[in-house]
Amino acid sequence: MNQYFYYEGNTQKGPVSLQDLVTKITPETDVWTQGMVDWAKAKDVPEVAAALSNVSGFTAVPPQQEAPVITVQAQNSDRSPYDSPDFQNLLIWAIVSTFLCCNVTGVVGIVMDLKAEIEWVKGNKDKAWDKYKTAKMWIIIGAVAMVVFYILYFAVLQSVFVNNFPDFR
Amino acid sequence: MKLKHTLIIISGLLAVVLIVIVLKFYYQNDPLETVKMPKCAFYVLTGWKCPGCGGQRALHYLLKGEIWQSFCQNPLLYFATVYIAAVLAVGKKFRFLTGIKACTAWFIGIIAFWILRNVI
Repeated sequence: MNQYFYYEGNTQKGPVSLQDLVTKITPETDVWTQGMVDWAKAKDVPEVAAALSNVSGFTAVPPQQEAPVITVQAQNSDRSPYDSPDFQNLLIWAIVSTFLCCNVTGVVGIVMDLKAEIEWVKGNKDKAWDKYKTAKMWIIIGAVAMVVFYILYFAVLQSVFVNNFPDFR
Repeated sequence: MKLKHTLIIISGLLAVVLIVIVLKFYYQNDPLETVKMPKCAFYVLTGWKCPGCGGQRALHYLLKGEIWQSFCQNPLLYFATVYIAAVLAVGKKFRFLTGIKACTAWFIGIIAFWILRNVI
């Protein structure tokens, strides 16, 4: 049995079964279930319309070939920070991080930025954004690790290293 | 609004003072001779130089006016500085500066530099 999602005002609700769904919606409600490309009005989804007519006496109409209803959700996935002319990836910050002692995490950040750019050129906006966030995470990890290391360094390690390895540069 | 402006001015002045103190410190102390400057974490842990090693020496020699000596401590750092300045200035107009080719070039360049400076 398929699970259904529907909109109540601007809020997405669900999942609910078909029996529960028809008690909560009108023929004009946007609904969606697995297998549908996009959200559609309940009256345009055959099995929902049929179930609705059993409950409320609403008569199902044959599905119409209209433009799909564009919902809030669909718009969100089309919008990406990469579209903004002000957007810049984190390559320069990954490089700064590489030179400021977070070399391993910095290089991972560069690789993630490279992957993000590749996904972006392919048109996978969501994947590109995921890679961007991964790059950001690695740069932050590097920065935190560096701060922790140097607090430890000046507190404890320095004297040990200076005494044992006098030729340290 | 007045308080906000005052805070911005005070923090700006503090930042300038801090930068001057740090630069003076780097001017007066040779990183090779003093223990007051941090060693590279990667070098301390592995014994290998990282792509950023030599940055403090480069700053020291630069402040002393020995530009070539400074450049030799870490050449890639100079390219990186110029590149980052370029991206900050015109990166939004020229997106290719942070595009696939730029990312690949930096990845290969940094790895190659990393290996070479430990081999040679």
